[in-house]
Amino acid sequence: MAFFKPSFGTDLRRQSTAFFQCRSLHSSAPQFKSPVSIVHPVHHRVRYKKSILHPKYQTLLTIPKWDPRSHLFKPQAVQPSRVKTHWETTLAPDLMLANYSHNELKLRGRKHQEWDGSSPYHVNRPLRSPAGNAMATPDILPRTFRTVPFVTSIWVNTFNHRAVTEHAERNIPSTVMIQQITGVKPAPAYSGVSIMQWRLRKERNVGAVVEIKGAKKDQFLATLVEVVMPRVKDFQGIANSSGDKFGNISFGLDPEGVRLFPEIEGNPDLWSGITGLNITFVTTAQTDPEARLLLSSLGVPFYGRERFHNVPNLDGTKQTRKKGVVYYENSQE
Amino acid sequence: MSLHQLSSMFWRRSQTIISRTAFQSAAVSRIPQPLHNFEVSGVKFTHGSLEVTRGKRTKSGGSSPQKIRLVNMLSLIGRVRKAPYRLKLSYEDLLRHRTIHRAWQLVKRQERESRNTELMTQYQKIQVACDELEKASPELFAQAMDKPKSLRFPPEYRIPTETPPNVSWDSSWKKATLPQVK
Repeated sequence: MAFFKPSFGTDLRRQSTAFFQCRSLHSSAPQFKSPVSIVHPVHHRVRYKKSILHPKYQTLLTIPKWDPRSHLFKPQAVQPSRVKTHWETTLAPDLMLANYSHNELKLRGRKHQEWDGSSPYHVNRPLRSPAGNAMATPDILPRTFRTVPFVTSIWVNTFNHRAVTEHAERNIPSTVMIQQITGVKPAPAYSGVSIMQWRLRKERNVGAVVEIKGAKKDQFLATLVEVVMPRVKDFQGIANSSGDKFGNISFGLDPEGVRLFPEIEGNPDLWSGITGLNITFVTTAQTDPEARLLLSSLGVPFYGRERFHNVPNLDGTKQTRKKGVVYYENSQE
Repeated sequence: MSLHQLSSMFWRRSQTIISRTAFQSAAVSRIPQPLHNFEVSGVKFTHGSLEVTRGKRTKSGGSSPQKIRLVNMLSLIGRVRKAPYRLKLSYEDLLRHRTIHRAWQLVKRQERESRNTELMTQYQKIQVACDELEKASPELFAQAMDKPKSLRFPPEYRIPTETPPNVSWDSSWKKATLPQVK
């Protein structure tokens, strides 16, 4: 029942290999040590709440979630979701037909490659990186009734620069703002890089982030599309070049746009330092154009020149992918 | 509980929040120097507004509206239990709850399966139609397979509402033209 939490600055891979290296006289031995000793008597170097092992908590594990006696019980079907109903009744058949291409085959993505074994050093060497790309890509499955795209979750995060330049307390209004807008409890967001011009250092609390799922996601999406986006000044839509190639679309809202959320607009005097939002739609679409089609069906406008990355041929002709390059039937010659 | 008691209780609670965050800085009353002067919508923030000095008078002049606002906000995102207390149901009520829950799960499952079956049927019909079109006329089939690379739903497309609109039919409607940006 112990919660293992790796300390900062240690590599997980090192911890997994610690079983072979923990008994050593070398000066660098402590950094390879496992947080739990494996020789009797066992001493934990990681703190955990011992009280959760009490027998009175054992019944909590046996009570299912739907039981009101469970501490995890949450009333589920409290209101209908018109976004979900719309997707089920209307959008899913439309999207299936729009994305349909006849006799489609599974298109294998770029994967890590085996070494050919010409050198004895190839044994135990890490796999070769994918051809043409440093990152492995997932397979693209045929578009069937099982792979109709939908929005799984929405990530919303904010970055408050004043938490860096002034005081860490400036995070509090941003965090509360995200919580009020989305209805989900936010988690602190930490800076990943240090930028000297911004006086920003790494691993500082500089904002908040939430992942919205379920009914709250639908509510947020409807509010965004119907209340906020139409009233943002000079708003053209989401850029067609946005996306991470795998069906997740991101865009940003200015502080002026954030002020248009009903929760903020109802009492604007309460909110002194409003920050902008970064919003990411996580969808099950396999490519970005399919994700854009899905979002446009939900009322999200798009503008600009479209970017096609990782998009298979839509003509229905036979295609193969060799070493990261897509070959169509006509271009084989 | 009178209003005075409630307010004093909240005040004590806010003081604990303050002292918890500023425990270390209370020993050495250190106030960091400002990097910039920011004026935010008429509210002038000072540095370390939640930090208090031990021994300072708090009854009068110790609190500012900004500080109280921040403490209120902290209480919104704090770790205190937000969920309501556990329901205490009798055995019969638990049985009723379980019965209704199972029945509702069954209804949802049947709906989901019927939806999936319908979608599957539609997909198979599309496949059959394409196959037959290919046999009947390869040229027409090639035209049918030729679809634009970027597809969009019309910008007027809306998520249906549960109530009818105030204006049932707009006879002066014209197709919207989105600004084209290169």
